[in-house]
Amino acid sequence: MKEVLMMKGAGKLIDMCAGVKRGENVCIITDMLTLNVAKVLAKAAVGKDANEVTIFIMEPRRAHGIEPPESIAAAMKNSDVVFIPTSKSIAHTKATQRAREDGVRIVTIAEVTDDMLISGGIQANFKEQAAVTQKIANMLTEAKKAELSTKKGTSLSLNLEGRKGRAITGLATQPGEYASPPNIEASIAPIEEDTNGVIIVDGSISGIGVVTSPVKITFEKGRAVKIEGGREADGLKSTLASASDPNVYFAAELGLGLNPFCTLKGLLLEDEGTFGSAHIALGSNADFGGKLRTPVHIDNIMCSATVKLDGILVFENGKLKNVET
Amino acid sequence: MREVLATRGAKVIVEDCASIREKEEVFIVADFETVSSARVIAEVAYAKGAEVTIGIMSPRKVDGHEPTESIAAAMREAKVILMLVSKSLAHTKATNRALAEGARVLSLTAISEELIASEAFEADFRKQRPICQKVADLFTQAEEVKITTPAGTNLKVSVRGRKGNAHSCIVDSPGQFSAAPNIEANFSPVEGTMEGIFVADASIPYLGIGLLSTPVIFTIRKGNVFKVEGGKEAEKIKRIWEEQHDPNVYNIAQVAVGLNPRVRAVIGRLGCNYDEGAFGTAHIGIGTSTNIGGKVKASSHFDAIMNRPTMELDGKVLLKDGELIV
Repeated sequence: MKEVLMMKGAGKLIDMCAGVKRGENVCIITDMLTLNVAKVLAKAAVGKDANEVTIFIMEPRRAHGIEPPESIAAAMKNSDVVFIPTSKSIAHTKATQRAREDGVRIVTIAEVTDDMLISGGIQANFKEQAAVTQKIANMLTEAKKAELSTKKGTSLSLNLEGRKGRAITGLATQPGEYASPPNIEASIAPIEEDTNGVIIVDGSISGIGVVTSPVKITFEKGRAVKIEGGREADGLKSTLASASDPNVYFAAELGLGLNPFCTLKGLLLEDEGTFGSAHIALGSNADFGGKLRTPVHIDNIMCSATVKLDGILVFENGKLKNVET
Repeated sequence: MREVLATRGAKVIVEDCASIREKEEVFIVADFETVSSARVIAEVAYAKGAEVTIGIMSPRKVDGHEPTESIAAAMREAKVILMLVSKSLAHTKATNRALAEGARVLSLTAISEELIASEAFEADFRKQRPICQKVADLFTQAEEVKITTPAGTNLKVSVRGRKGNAHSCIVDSPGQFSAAPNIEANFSPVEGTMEGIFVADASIPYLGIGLLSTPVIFTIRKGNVFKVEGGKEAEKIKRIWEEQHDPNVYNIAQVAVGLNPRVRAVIGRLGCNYDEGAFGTAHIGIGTSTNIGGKVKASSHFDAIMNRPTMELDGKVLLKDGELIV
């Protein structure tokens, strides 16, 4: 009977996040491990009087970022709204990009679990939170320099000059928009060669999970030159090595988590969105204004971050500062 | 636990009918009523090493309605398509386009785990294929066909210049279509040539009719149904035809012989592809004929089945009281 409890969250994804309107064609792309969520979303979409609700089930992709089958890519383009509750993300694929270019609204929920529709980040009021997210994204656009620090010892400086901040609000209500609820974040791709300092990752690492012993990453001229710690550090090192691409060592993204209901769970979209956390990603950033296109994009999340933009505090130990809400 | 019983039939569908090979991309079209059947087929196809994708839509209201646009788009990209649906997608634009793109399409309409588990899928489809082709070839060579049954059917029709079609339930080369478990050989008669009385005494597995409690008697003149008589089934057909306001719905589109040796009688319940393939029966299709080599496009097509036909091709007996004489 868990489905009953999931219906409220499904309703929010359909109504608020995607803004599904009567008569629209809704497509739900899922895989054989996440069908339960797809079913609940289908019920909510049918309840909203969508014209046609079609579910597509594929075999789970082997890793984040792998293209869906061609038949599904074609189906995505022939829809008004596409929901993608899957085990592995197809957010950064050609299939998603092409559908967006055709004006399709896309809501992806990678590493989705039944529980994610019941509690946690899904409880946020995404509409309300969008304003502050957009404001911080604008501040990132205007800033030349960012400084990230934490009580655990993180101390990193980044050059943002000329780069554009993005607001990931969890909402995809306009043609071509993309959302990945429950994550709410403001983020930016820093100038690749100018990131220097140290981060102490005490939250989680995407693909690896919640960190039990903090991972220390030292950056010089934009690249991670040293990765130290325990089991998780080893895991990160081997993931990066297996990508066989020197560019995966670049700091590709600075992100600020802005969903008040997200907590650290070892699930990508809950962890990134955790309010007051910050993440530094390694790998790809070409999708959002950077120069790097690599096979991986790994988020490293720090709790209770302090972030300064051109010397002005935005986060202080995980609390919002100097941003009017 | 019925899915356990259906596994053997699913294996026949995947390996023999669809001829699915390792690493092949298989697209299964299903609807919200047929998901359990789709799952059984997906399991077997996956175990066989295929890459399986499933598209599920709401059941279409009637046979022949188009699938959703997203499914139609997905079908055009697929190499092998299994349509496990409540209502037939056989005569849709979506199917025709996928076939034109070279897809192999196997239609499994009114599918259920019961049908997959039924004796119809115990047939040796590969062994039956040449027999089916032989009957189709005889139709191609023939000029005049006569059909009689103990229930009173007495028909004469021209097949001159028309090609017989073999539906062996096997799709193993690009652009092929078949509907399983219906093994049949058929032809679309020359328009305007059928004359006589057709008594459907077995079933009409369409229009919500099924097994016939009262025979439906069709009087046929110049290749069109001129009169329908019988009980409530006849009344229903008359009503549906009148609602369509389309003179082409009365066209005699098809003459077919059931050739699935494991199906010995129609039962109605398991749908058209079970009944139409029943060995020892023949059926007449009424309405659209363009998909089987005829020239008429109508807003409907359904088949009505007769028991124990005797069929002569240019005076030579093909079927005698339902038994094949080849």
